[in-house]
Amino acid sequence: MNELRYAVICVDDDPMILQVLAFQLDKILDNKSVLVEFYTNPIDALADIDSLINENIDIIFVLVDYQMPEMTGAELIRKIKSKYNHLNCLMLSGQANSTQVSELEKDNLLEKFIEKPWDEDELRNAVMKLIKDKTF
Amino acid sequence: MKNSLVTNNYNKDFNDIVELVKEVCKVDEAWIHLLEQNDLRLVTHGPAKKSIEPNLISFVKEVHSKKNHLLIEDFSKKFGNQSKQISSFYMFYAGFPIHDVNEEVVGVLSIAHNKAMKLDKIKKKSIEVLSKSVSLLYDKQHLDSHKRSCLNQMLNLNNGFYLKIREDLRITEIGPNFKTSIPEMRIGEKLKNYLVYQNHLGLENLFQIKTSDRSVHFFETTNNNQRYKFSFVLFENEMIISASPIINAKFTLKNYALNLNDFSKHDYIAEYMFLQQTSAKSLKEARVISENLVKRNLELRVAQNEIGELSKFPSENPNPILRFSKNVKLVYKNPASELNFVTDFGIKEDMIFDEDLKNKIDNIIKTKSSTSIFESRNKRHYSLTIVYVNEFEYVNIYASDITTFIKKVNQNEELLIRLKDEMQEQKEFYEFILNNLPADVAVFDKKHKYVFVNPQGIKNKKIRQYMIGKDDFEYFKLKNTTDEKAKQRRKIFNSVLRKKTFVSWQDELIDKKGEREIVQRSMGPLFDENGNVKYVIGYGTDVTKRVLAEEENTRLSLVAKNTNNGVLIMNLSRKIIWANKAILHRSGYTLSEVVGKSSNYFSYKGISHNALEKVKKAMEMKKKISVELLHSSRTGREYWVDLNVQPLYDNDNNHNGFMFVEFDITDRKKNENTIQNLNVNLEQMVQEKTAKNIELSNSLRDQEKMVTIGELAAGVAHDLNTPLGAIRSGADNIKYTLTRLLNTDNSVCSENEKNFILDFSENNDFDLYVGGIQFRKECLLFTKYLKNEFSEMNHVQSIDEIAMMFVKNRISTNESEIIEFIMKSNSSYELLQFLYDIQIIFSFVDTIQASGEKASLVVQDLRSFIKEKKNTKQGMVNLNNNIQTVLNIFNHNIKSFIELHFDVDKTIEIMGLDVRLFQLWSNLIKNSIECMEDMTGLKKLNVYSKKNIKTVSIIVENNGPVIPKDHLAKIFQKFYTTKGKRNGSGLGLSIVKNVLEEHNANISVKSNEQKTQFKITFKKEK
Repeated sequence: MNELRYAVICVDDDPMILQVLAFQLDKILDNKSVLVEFYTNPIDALADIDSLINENIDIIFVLVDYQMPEMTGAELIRKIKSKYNHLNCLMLSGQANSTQVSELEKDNLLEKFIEKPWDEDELRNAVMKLIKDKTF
Repeated sequence: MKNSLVTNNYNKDFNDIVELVKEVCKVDEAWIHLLEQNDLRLVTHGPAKKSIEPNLISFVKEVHSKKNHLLIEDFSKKFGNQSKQISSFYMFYAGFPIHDVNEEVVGVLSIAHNKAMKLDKIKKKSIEVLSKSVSLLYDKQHLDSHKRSCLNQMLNLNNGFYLKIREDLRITEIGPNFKTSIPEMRIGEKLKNYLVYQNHLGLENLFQIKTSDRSVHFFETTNNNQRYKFSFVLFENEMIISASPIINAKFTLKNYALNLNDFSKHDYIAEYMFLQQTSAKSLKEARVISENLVKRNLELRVAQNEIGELSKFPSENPNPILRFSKNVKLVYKNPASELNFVTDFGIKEDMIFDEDLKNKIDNIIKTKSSTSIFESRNKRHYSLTIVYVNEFEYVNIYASDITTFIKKVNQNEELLIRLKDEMQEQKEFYEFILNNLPADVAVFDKKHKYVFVNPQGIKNKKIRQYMIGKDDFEYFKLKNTTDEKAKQRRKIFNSVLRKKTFVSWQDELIDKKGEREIVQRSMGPLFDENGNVKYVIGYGTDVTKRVLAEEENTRLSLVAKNTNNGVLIMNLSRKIIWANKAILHRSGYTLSEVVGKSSNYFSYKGISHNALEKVKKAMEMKKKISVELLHSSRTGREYWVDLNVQPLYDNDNNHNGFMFVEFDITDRKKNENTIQNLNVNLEQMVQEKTAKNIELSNSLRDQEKMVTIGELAAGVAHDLNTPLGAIRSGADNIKYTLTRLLNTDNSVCSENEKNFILDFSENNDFDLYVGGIQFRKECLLFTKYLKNEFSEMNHVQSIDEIAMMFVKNRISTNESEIIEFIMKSNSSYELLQFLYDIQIIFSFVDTIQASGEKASLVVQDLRSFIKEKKNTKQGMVNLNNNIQTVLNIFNHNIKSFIELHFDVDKTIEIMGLDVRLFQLWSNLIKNSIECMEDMTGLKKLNVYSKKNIKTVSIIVENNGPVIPKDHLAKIFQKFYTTKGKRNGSGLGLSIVKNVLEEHNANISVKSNEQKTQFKITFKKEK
């Protein structure tokens, strides 16, 4: 196995969504040497982001849902950004018109908002844009 | 005694003084010793060896301890023959104590000469003066060291808020408190990076401010959360800023990251500045004295030279010069002395018969000293200088006849006395006039102190005398009134001094009886013969009566002129002498047209002749009268007036005319019935109607809204149900078809394997989303496992790849049977690949089924919530189910934000309408959620039931903000909303009220810091 250099983080409290994301990201990333981590709990995700960054692994993006227990996706993104401003954050959610989300966009903290239900191509485009200058 | 190690600027000054002493006294050496740390130290240059000469040292010590000057004129004589072994560099010593400001002896100024000599009075005096200047310098030096220690104290012991700044405004030192309050501050950085100077000059000009500028300055930190008051001093090319933080509501203690103990007094800087000024002054004085000494020294030398020159040629000197031997025999007299001096002092041949002078000369010889005296003989006056000449043991007398000079002085004195008498006379004359003037007069000196005040100004004689030399502030203090007047007068006084002109003003006082007293005052300069202000005179006259009369007149004429009522003044012969604007305007005539005419000129259209007759009669009887009359103006316009006629009297109560005052009453006459009342009524009606309309339209709009929402929701539910049904059945069909497809024959794998795949897929707990790290770990484990268990197997794919496929299929290493089954297959990898694909398809079908179900549930809840109103038949409603449905609808709002506690007894049933009850719960729950929206911290929503004997209660409570008491009463009113812009219709709680009425239930509200609670109580069904 190649040495790990890249990772992708997905956070959604609904396992069904993670199921679909796993399948789609597998296709999109096409056997590239990328760690794809899934979390139903934002707190666990935050902890693992810390340790991945400590191990010098480049996190290509973090994909989060909006509505989650413990904290909202917007709060999670703010937490991540306050620590690692360079991390790209995507949001996959049905709550497009939440004020928290529009504030995120206003503060330039959100790379892409994908509305549920989503089209695989939309996700693919977003991901491709982010991995285009990475060497695997 | 040591040579001082301290080298500073003063040493140069001391050396200069020493040189001066040497020159003045014509001695070989001079030294200054000063007390330093209880030891006398030499502070001047001098021959090193000689300065530690033991005789000098003991001599200086003696001067210091005796605190008086000492002289050794001849060292060898002092010790006589018996101590010849005592050798000395010098034969002559003199020492003078140096006193500091407290008259303490702090040093010694000493001189020495290698020959025995004498010190005359002038030299002695010179040395004393020079030693005085040494002490001034000494004081300056001590002040400076005190200044420095004071500065250090200021910096170290003061509040710690200090900064040192170089001229380029970079920080060179930061006080400890600043390190705490502005931790980012760094030495070497520019001050403006941290602080903003609150002055128009700006920070860069800080150094331009003079040190004498003692005003308070301010600066703020660049982030504006700290503010300091500061003062500063310039010290050795650095600016030292001593600041103290401003603490108030905006700039709290917290802003400075300090506590109260970090602050202390600000006194050191004040003391420092005082010291700096004092020491500068001392130095200046010292320099002036030194300069004067140098100058005087020059003069002395010139004088000495002159005397020397003269003594060479005494015969040519116009003043008497005589010499006596030590037994008082005349040795020499010059020709000038023969004129009068010899006879005046009884000198015949070599004898002197004037006992007095003889004694004086005798005394001089004995003391080997000199003196200057005045003597008068035979109405002639002499100035005598008697000098003992050491070398030759003679006494010289230098005399000069000062008779004419003395005469002149006496003449002047007489003149002066005469002048004084004259002036006294003059002064008395003026004072007499001033004292009897009917106005108050005061004369002030240039400091505004009373020099003179007349009885009119201050009536009490004692106070008047007391006030001389005092000022108005003291006067008003004496009178026990505020110094307001004194301040005002001081201001005027200053302006008089400045402008050198007279200033006049009116003083208004309220006397003890409460009556106004107005004084017209003037103040102006009195000049001396050179045109300079010598005194300032102030005088005042009582103008109360005049001013009051003028004011009264002004007021009256203003009233008469400007009133809307017409005014006419008539003289005794009933001719108009004045008419005001109003009456002229109304009638259309000008003042010049009516003056001198009778009142008939204003053609009264006496509607009743009677009225005019009445006026005439009243005027004859000098009585007041009031009548209503119709007038006609010049243009023929008619108008009604209410005419008041009044006789007028002058100040002496003599009847001198009449006044007509007319009020225009045309409007009143015309409109007996005003329409004002009508207007008021109309307006009220319109307002009421409008309010009603608004209310109506509001309620209509809300009803409409509800209907629209209901219809929309019903439509959406229907439209959603159709595709949802399709999704569900589609998913079922996929699963069925897939199973069938796999059961049919194909070549990918054996029958056995197919069965295994189907069986496994059906039962395996498959998930796609295994984290990358976990996945890799498991792959490694699996590879290890396979390598151990199936080392002999030979596959096209690497063990790694096969292991990965196992992990992907979520097969664990303890499922050994399954692993063995797969590994024994002909194409294990392909089988695993196939199994993986099937599992993915199955898992997605499951996902679709579950999602469809979930969606159908939402739609169901929505439908039951907005069930058509037609279905209004009452029935038993289970409250647990009813409320649960509502909570489901709000699930997305509650899920991640609110801790929900739901505990409603499942057995509670009430008779009612489920749809209406939905509205009840949804409004209460929605309100709870919305009110907690802006809250931080844990949000709680509790919904629970309470059973009593006759009632059941449902309690909905939240820990949101308190509802203010005055709001509690209004919340059930229709359209009352506090939600502002945010989707508040104000209908929610009024709907609640309606639903409660329909169900014969009631509601109570409690709100406090912990929770806001709505309690709905239903009567129990029998």
